[in-house]
Amino acid sequence: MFFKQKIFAMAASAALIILIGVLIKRRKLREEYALLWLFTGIGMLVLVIGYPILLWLSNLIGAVAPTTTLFLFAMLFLILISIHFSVKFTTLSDQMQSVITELALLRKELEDLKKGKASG
Amino acid sequence: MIEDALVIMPAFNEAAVIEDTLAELKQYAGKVVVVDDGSRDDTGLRARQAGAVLLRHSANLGYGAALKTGFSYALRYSKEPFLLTFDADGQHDPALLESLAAPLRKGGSDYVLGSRFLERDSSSAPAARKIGSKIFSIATSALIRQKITDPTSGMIGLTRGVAKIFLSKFFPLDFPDADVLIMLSRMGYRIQEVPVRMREARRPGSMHAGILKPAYYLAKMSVSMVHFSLRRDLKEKRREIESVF
Repeated sequence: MFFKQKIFAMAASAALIILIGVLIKRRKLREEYALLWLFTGIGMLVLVIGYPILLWLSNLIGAVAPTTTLFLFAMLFLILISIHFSVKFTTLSDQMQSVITELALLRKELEDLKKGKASG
Repeated sequence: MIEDALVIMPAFNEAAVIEDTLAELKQYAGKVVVVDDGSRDDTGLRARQAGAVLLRHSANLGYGAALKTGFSYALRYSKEPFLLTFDADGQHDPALLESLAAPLRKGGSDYVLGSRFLERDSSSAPAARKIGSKIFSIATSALIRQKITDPTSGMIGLTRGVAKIFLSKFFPLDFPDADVLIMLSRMGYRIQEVPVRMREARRPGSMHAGILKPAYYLAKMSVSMVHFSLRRDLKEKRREIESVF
């Protein structure tokens, strides 16, 4: 891995970790959603700093260049993050449906109560 | 007049036709619940003026979600032993609701499906949609080992027991279809088809119009059918769901 590549990868990982930290601090991102992003940043940083680990991993998966291993792992993390969000969306749409159903039923109950009060 | 079944009518932007549909329906059904699925027009107001019980969604969630709200209302606030669904666009003939309720009343079925193709084709759907429906009918029939001719029908009758299943997370939010039939059959519910006629909708338009939506629907339905076909725990899930309510 060239020195420039190493510096760029380290800067990108550090920027990602700092950005996530700032977003958590400003309460724009909840810790539970930040975890995967933090793992991505820390993972990239570990692989760049611990160059022998990167070489060993590249050898293990049969990658020609260590940079390919970095990109591959970054992509795998992105896929995991996308799946994580799809699961969250599914849960959220189920919850939204329950809330809207409950709201519709409560609204009807309230209307009936008001009607009863007005006539009684 | 049907007094032992609650009619649930999902409606979305049907202000132009809902009064006529309800006026006709009222001659046959004692109690009608309209679920206004976040309409941007005054569908809800007109439905209430026409004498229906009105439940309003604050956002548009889809046909399946509107049915879920109707079923929730039925299980919580009404005593009718059977539930019937009816489209707001006037395509369904209310005189045929009795043919959906009768098999439920006799106790021989838990889920009755009004089929447009059982006797003769009474659907005015485009040819491509009919072909899609036919493919799903064949696949469903093979998977549940029972002849099904119209899995996409919006005219259905069900017991309160089946409604409980529909309130679980197994029920799709967009549209109940062949996947639901496979699920119910695997859960041990008895399904029956009865012939119904479809009329021209009072308001043209379909949720399956365009190219992307049918393609998405085809893919989603295939995944859902495979999912329910492969599951081996559906009878157990039925017991779990029925015991919770």
